[in-house]
Amino acid sequence: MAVLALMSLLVSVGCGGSPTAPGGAGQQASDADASVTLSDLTAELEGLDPAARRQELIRIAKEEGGVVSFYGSTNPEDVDPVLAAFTKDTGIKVENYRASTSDVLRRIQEEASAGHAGADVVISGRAEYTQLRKSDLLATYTTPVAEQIHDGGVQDDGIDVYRVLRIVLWNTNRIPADQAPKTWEDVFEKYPGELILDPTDWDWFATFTKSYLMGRKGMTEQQALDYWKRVVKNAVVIKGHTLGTQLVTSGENAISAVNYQHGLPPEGAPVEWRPPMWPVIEDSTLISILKNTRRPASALLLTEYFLTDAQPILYEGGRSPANTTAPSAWPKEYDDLTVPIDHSLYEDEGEANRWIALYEEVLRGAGRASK
Amino acid sequence: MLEVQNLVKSYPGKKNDPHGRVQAVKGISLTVGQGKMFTMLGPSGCGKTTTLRCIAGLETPDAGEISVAGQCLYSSTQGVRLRAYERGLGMVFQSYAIWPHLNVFRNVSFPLEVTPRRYRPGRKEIKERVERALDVVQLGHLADRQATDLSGGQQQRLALARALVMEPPMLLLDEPLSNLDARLRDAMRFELKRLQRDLGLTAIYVTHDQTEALAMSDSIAVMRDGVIEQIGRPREIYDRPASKFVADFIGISNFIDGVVVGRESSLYEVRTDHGSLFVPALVEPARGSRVSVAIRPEHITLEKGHMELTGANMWHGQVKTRAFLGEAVDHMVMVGGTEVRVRCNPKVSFEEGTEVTLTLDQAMCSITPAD
Amino acid sequence: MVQVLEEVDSAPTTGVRPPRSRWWRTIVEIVSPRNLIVLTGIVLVGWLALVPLVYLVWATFYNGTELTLEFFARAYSAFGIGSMALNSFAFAVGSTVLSTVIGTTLAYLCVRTDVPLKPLVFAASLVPLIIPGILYTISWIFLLSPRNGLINKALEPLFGPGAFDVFSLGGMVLVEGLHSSPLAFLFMYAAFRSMDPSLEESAMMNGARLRSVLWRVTVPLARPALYAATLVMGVRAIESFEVPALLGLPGGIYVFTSRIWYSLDQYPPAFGEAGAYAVLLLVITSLGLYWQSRLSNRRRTFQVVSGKGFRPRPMELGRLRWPAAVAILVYFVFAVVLPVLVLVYASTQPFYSVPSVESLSNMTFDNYAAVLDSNIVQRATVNSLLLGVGSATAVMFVMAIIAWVVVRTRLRGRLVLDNLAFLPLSIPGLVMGVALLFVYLRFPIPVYGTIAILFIAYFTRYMPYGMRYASTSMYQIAAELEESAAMCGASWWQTFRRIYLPLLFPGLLAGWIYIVMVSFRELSSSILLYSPGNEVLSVLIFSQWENGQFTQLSALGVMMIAVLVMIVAIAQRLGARVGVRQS
Repeated sequence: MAVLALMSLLVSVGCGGSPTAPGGAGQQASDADASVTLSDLTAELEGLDPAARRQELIRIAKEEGGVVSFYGSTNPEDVDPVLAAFTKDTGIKVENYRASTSDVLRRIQEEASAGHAGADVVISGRAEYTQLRKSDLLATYTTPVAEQIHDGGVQDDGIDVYRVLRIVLWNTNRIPADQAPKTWEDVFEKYPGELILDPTDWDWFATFTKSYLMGRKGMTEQQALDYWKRVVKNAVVIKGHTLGTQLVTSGENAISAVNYQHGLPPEGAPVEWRPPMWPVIEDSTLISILKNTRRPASALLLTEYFLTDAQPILYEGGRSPANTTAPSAWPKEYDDLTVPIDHSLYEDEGEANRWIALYEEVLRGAGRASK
Repeated sequence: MLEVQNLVKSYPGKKNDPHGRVQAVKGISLTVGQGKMFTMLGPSGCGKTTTLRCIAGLETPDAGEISVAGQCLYSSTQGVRLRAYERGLGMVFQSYAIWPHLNVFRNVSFPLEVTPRRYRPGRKEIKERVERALDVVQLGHLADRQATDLSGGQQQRLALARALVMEPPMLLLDEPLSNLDARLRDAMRFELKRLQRDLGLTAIYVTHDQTEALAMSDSIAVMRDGVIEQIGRPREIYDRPASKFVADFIGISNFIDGVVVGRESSLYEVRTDHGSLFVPALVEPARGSRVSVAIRPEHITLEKGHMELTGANMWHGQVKTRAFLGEAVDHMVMVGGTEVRVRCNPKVSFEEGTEVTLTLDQAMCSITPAD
Repeated sequence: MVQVLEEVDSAPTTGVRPPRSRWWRTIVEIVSPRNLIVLTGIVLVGWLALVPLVYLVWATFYNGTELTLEFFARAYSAFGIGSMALNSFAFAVGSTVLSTVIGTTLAYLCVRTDVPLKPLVFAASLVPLIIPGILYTISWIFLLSPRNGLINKALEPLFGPGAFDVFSLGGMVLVEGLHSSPLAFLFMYAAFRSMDPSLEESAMMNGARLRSVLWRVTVPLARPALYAATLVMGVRAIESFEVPALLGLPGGIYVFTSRIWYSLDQYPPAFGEAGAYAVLLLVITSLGLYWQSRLSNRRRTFQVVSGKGFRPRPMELGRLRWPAAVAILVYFVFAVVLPVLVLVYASTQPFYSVPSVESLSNMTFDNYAAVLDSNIVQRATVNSLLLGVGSATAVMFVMAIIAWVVVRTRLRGRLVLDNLAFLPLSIPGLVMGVALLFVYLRFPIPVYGTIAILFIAYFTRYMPYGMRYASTSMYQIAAELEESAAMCGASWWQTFRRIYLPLLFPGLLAGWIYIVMVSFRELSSSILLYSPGNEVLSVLIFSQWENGQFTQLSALGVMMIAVLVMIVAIAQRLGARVGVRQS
């Protein structure tokens, strides 16, 4: 019994005072605020041409230690070549922590609340970026490179790296060209039992409902929801876009409403997504610099690299880069079909949770996979 | 060699037990001389095994003193308590407790191998001692066998060899023969006794089998409910049981109730329902006290017919039933309202209903306190 | 004999060691190896178990400003909670029963009978364990999906299209049951290996037929192991994530874990709600544990490894021999061969499609090349091996000691210890990861950022399994084996090392194998805690999964399986040599 008392003592000592609420960021990290340093830096580098600017940044980065730490929810196939090229071009080493976007967020938050400066640069999805910003963990920065980024892709603390586009995908063996969907109504109503919906796409669901059903079709929110409940009987719920894409590729299901355009199977697979229909809900991943970084110049260097030299490399990986000067997997002729995802969803937790609940309610009426 | 004083041991009782703790041993004292075999005999729950385990060090008594060869092993007054592995006593368990993963040799060499380095014998000496011990129990030819390949009797001898190899000053045996079949048990009884005597070992033996106890021991302690009812040599215990319990437990006995009315030199007169009996007594019962006279069936003789009652302790009776046992004939004889069992030579055999005269051998009667 | 007599006469040593002063004895007793080792073990287990536990409870009942039950209210008033509970229950019970029956039967055949093809049985029983949950479930989707499932297609002539549907409760039970049966197998394997067959033999001598013997003697004797296995698998089934997510959702079947992950996927993650579910899980687990230990208490009936000596000899199956072999082959085909074949096939394809002449002619080894080329894969493999072997060894050793404390001593609070060692099982991996992240970021010793924090996470996660294996084995060893060692003069440590460890070996080895294999699959904590350079294989697999590279994933999976099968084969060879030999 004495032993157990000793243990509880140890535990309470170990946990320290009062830990912050889970998921929150709690107190300020260290007193380092890179925003200040970064704006000073930008002022210093004003007027230099891109090559000289880079050389100067490399020089300071080497003084900072020659290493930069990068957290991202990115695909190793896409990012490893970028990092290798970066190190080759600049001589700065990169430590890359890779996890799901929500894990990256959690880790950064926990590290920050413990005063640990783990990450310098982070690439994350919009939801997580918003969270980081709300927790006051991001530094503000400006860079001349931002001019090359597509419209709407630049914030004062985060810049788009590549675009994420969600498209409808169908199997050409199961759905021959003459029966291919031409409208969204086709997608939802023409293939009973075959349509795949993914429960993680609540943000797509919200944006689509607002822009198409309520916007173009003029429905009220209630009418839109009724429509959904009617058509969802034709759909099955599959969790995981990878699996969904696989099932369409193999022909197990004929059609999927939401697939990542960069996650398509390779050439030769019997699938098709063109022509896409308006709206193609578009999102992006953003690159940001952590406020408590001790290596602001290295961070800025890597950030700029991602936004310039890396962009063609990302294209080669099948991505649609945010930099307009780089080639893109997303054909330019479809650019006016895209609709940006509703940012307010991330700003307002109440809105977000409301739509999450609505989507869950809708999906409850989904059909079963078997017939 | 062994001195035990006022040993007390209790256990926590079962839950909901109003009595709280269970008193297993309620204050036992005994002395055993060097080279003697001392047996604790009694029904299960009498405390004999608990006492043995206290001596061994496998249980910790509540109070008392235990010393071996003058060395204090446990003392509640002086705060001494040697652990089991420090006492250097050999023990043979009821289930032998040999180790299944070792072969015969390794089982026996184990005690030598775990001696602290300071006292540990060299490899050659270990080999010699083990072989010697195995020879003593006649298992020398099986040294390489897996212990589990031996028969029951062999395993028991193995356990013995293991206990002996340490050359302990005293051997403890906890019902070692009870797992053997009857024939083997008989043979092993002699073996054990022979070994003990030849090696001059002091042995503490625990059993519930009175035949075993009588056959092997130099002295016996009959126990009941945590106390010793009687200590003495086998013959004494058998012929002069001090209490009804002892008389009953050891062999079969008749009990005839009566009252002490007088005394004549060394004989007491006990008046019973059927007449007076004259009985020698170890204790000195008070006049007027109620007693039971104990007499073994084989110490009563029968003669046909109602003879003249010429001597003391002669009664008339009638045969109620008889049973042929092979080596003897048991008669149940009614004397007045009391049933008396008489064991006779096979030549003496009377039918039911025969009138007989019983003669109770005066020297073999003993007085026990009435319950 | 005369010699011996003389010996005794001339050297009347008492054998009792010279006594020392009382103070010295007291000090030595407190600082004895036994107490030190035991204390270390207890503190270790207590610390490791309490850290995530305290964090979880705190996160569930504290919302940042005050103690509250709001998370409970929200969690349990969610829509459909009733049917969810029912589904969870049905799923858990079904898969537990299936895996227990399969695992026990296989173990019995393997250990106690003369069934042919034994090495096959052993390997077959373990392979499903190695395959990561995602891959295993997906390969079953490809086998049994109603439209294109390969088995369904093969059976079409007989049963018509879509005979079996994997997206159903039955499908869930089948896949989870098959995937978990190795766990049951390992438990029961260890138990049967240590059992005294004379108990069964005497039943047979008394005329009982095989079936009666099994029912009346074997099963009752194996009860502690059975309960332990059932308990562990029940908890795992309730906690299982991949199968319900991949197979249940399409079938409209929701279970508790769907809810937990739904809460955690929210924006921002609803830790409190997830915690409210996890706390329920904890309560269920503790109850199950309590019940199990009461049934398996120290009663001598279960102490079947005794010094009474026994000869483990296989029973003859006679007429049942070949049918049993056939049954094993069938099991092998379904549980192992088919899923692995699907994976192998997928690994050779640029994208997955139903096997056809065309797809077979497209076979390529590009995926394997990509995997083998990668530096990260090599590093991750080494890390996974180090962590797996290291944590398995550490866990089994420490748990052997803890099992001794729980089973063999009368220390007060030992049942609490048992419970503590077991609780990490019911804490979702993600919660565990966050808890460890939180604590070790603030820890004075720099554990965070090194491979040590992963080691801690693995140790904590696998402690419960180790404990079950170790304590089950410990129950089977008769107390007298320790006592006789003490009477022979062996100190605690000597007894532990020379008697307990060898006798516990089958159980310890089984636990070791299990932990090594599943540690390769551990993801939810690893992904949060690893640092660049410390990647493990599961993290790699995950990132490939997230990025839609199923075929490459299959290649990696196939290679992982090959490596682990080798490890297991080696371990089994080794294991056959230690402990009680079979004749």
